[in-house]
Amino acid sequence: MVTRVVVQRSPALRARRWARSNLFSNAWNALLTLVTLALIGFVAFVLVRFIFIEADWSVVRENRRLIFLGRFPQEHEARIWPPIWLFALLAGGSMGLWGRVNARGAAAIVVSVVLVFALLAHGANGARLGVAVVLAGGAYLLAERGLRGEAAQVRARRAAIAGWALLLPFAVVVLVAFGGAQTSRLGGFLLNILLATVAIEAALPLGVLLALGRASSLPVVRVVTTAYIETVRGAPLIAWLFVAWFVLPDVLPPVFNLDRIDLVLRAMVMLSLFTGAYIAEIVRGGLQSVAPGQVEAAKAVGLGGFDITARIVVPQALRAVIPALVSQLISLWKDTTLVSILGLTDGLGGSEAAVSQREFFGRQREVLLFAAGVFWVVAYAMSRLSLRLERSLGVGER
Amino acid sequence: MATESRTTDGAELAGSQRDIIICEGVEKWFGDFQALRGITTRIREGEKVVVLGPSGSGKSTFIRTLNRLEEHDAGRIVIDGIELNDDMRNLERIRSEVGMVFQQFNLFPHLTALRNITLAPQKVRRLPRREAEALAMELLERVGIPEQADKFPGQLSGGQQQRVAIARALAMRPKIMLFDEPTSALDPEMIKEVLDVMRELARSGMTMIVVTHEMGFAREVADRLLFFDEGLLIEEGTVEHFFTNPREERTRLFLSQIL
Ligand SMILES: Nc1ncnc2c1ncn2[C@@H]1O[C@H](COP(=O)(O)OP(=O)(O)OP(=O)(O)O)[C@@H](O)[C@H]1O
Ligand SMILES: [Mg+2]
Repeated sequence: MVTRVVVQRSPALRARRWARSNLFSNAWNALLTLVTLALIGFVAFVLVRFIFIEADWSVVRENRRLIFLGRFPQEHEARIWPPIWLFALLAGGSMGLWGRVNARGAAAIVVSVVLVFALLAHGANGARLGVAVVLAGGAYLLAERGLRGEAAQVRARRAAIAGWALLLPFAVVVLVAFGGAQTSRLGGFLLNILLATVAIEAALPLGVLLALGRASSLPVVRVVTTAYIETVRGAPLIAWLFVAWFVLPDVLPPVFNLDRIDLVLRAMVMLSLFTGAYIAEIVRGGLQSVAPGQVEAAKAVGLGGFDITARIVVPQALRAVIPALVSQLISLWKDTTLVSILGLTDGLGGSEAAVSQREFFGRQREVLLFAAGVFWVVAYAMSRLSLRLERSLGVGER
Repeated sequence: MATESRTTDGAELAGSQRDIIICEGVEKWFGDFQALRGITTRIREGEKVVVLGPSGSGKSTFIRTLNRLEEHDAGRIVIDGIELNDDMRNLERIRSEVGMVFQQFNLFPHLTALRNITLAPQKVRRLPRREAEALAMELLERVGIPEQADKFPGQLSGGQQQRVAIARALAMRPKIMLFDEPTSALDPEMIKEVLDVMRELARSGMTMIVVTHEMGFAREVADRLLFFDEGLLIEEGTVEHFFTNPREERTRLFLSQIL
């Protein structure tokens, strides 16, 4: 008989064993490990030294308007806060409703809040940012602790989903309507965020419809959608933005002033149409992955074509392609910066404008690193959100 | 034709004189290949029919023509007085009168067991949600797994999934139930729980057409057996007939292989 004695090893010993078997299993691996560690250490050292010692972050604080709002008229600036507050409320509440914030997450949130305050809070802004933080925290606590019973949970979740759906229209109305800013004056990261949000919300349904069209049994529908998808994918986004700039005004009929729509709206339309084509191809892959038995079972219980598509096929197709979809949307988020070729000042453009001022010469590194940070934070948040979504939809469980 | 009934309860239903399914010369082609070569038979209301035959003989194709998952190319199929043709309205009526259970269950993986069952009653029969849910719970009781209502198919065993699938089909209150090898994808220990549900369904008087290799089940429940080979219905009769003196050599060979 063999008896195996399980010895409780100390964590240090376990770590050493893990390192031995994973990092130093032979000479070649050991060398690779050392080189990699040296590289990581060097980059980290340079970054940390720059961020905390060499950099002068006042350039970001002084230029925060330019970076975040571009040429957005000053008299309407207060209008950006209600949407931000609604966003904070929804973000905090959703985190409490759908997720748990663990210690690492909490630490990351605290660090970001401190960073945001350090870099951006100034005068009245500080108080307004404070309101956002209080709203987010309050909503989180209320959602996490304050809801008694399943029914309350369900209601709160419905309210949150409705809130998210209303966020974009709310923001647009607050910013632009009732004598607000002209859309053509939108700029800075506000412009990137609005372009990306509008394009995501328009491109997703468009992509699904195009994918369904391409899979349709009607030849006309199939040919038209296929032609659309292949044409759009045949040229780079930059080319389509040029089309929006130079060609569209001549082609569009002069009714409703369509030919004189401002550049921001044209950019929104182009980004949506462009991303829609790519999403269509991703969704098409998802449609093909739905087992034929699903449609048969749905037919057998008497469901009609619309219900089969909308309730059985599309949800499963989307679920199967979440990673690819999110990756496409992240790429859209970064592509919004291409609108600078239309002469619009987005977040990156605003950053460049900031350092082209005489008194900020030589501070490009701070501003560009900051801009990169903003792009990264949003992209990373999208990627985390997609993981969360995948888990809650039970992808891979079948 | 079978005149005697082997069911114990509800036996008089099996003797009902009304033909609920009429097939006359049904043919089905897949390209150049003829899968059904003129099937003619009638099934009475409440009758339990077991379909036998070697692989590729057209058993699945046959029962799939009965709810028009496959369109027949020639011949006539009349279900409960409604002829199966290109008329969309007929199709809707047939589909809600004929329930089907598949070998691979085909539950909707993104919906809970309960939603799998309530979906069609809500969307097709326009039942309010509460009523649909009450109906679903009643059916889950009937198949013995009310406690699994809120689980997703991926969280259920094969036997449980197949029982949810049966409940899903029953939720449309069908008059006829089609089963295509309902236990073939199941581990042996789960076969019985599904067959038990089917036995109970048979006792309740449901008209059932079952493709299966479970001869114990056939012996116990079937009023009549149909034997398919190469797209032809080559022999039909009672269980006694099949087990004592099948007429065709093919049938004899097949039975000797599976028994
Ligand atoms: N969609 C299809 N396209 C082409 N051929 C098909 C199709 N479906 C079935 N067939 C063919 O029709 C014949 C009958 O198939 P069917 O599935 O009805 O057989 P079966 O008796 O159910 O067999 P099994 O016991 O293996 O399930 C087979 O030869 C099969 O290859
Ligand atoms: Mg078959």
